Amino acid sequence: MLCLFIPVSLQASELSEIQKALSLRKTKPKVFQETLEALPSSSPYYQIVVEELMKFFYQKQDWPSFFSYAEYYRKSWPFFERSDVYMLELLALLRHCQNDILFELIHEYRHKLKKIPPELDQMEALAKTKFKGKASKEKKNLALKERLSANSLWKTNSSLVGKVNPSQLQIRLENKCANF
Amino acid sequence: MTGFLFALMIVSQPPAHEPTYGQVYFKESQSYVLPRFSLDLGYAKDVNNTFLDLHSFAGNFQFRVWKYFSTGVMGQWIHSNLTHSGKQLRDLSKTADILFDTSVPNWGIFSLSDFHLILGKWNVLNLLAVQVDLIVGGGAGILNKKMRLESKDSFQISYLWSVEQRVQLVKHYGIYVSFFGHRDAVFVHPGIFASF
Repeated sequence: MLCLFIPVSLQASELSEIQKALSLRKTKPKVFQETLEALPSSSPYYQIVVEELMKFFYQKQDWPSFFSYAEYYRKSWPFFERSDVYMLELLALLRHCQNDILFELIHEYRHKLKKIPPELDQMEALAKTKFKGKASKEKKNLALKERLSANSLWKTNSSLVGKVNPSQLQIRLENKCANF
Repeated sequence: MTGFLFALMIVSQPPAHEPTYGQVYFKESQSYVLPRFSLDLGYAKDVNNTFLDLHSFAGNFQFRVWKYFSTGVMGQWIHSNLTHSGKQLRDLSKTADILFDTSVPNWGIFSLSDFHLILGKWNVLNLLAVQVDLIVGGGAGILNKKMRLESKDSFQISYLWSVEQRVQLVKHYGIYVSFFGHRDAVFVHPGIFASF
């Protein structure tokens, strides 16, 4: 009885922690981020956590953190388990004018989906078009920002993606919109 | 049975290929935060005293106040000899009625606050994680000194400044070289440190 009760109570406390963090998203974004990032990937709610952090980093335009979570999301859950949040990765790639990667992902989704959402076609069309506001805002001095946060960054290879907690990785992607 | 085998086939399928992109960095959080405590010990030699050779041992104990800022206490015990110029002046007493006297520092104790600028960390051949810090500090304290020809010692309030280059070679331990100065002299000070 006790063995059953402990995991259930742990799950309940995790859920209340997530709910509390979600309520702080606008007022205390740092607390929101730290609370969600601290949750272990073994948590049954981890997919929700990753989705919320993807939305958060997308809005914040913190692209290295966003791409880390986006790749982790894609590698950790099969397509039929994902929510519409997967579209954010395509949008972010679009806003970086990374058309080759974008087309490759759209091709993968077309392969997997029976009913192809119209957004994929729109995304493909937009990738080929130049329009105002397409490029994401580039944040300068990222290295300095990390230094001031007392974090050090070590170049590594993509094999770590999906294996370590995405909060420990950053994926930097060139914004090609200037050359587009 | 067929359904079970089919389900098993789906489950045992390798994960589908997922494209990867970008340059991946591993983030070591808070790795540039100073250790809680650090202790420096080393030899210090003066670089600017004309009449005295000041050989000393100096130690500095620091504790972290903020992630890049530490404060603590520094002590120095000094042994002095006359330099060649000092000896020549001293020997004047043999030929002329001139007595050469100068103030000789014995020891000093100072409060010292340091600001740490971590210049970089390198992984050398996967064997050494070398970290280089530039540390700039200042403080004040007391110097115990006496005149060479008198036995009575006296105390003097003095400032202290310090510039240190620290190289952490293995976890917790490393070497450093610093320049520090107070009212008596400027010293070059190599040594070893431990930080936890």
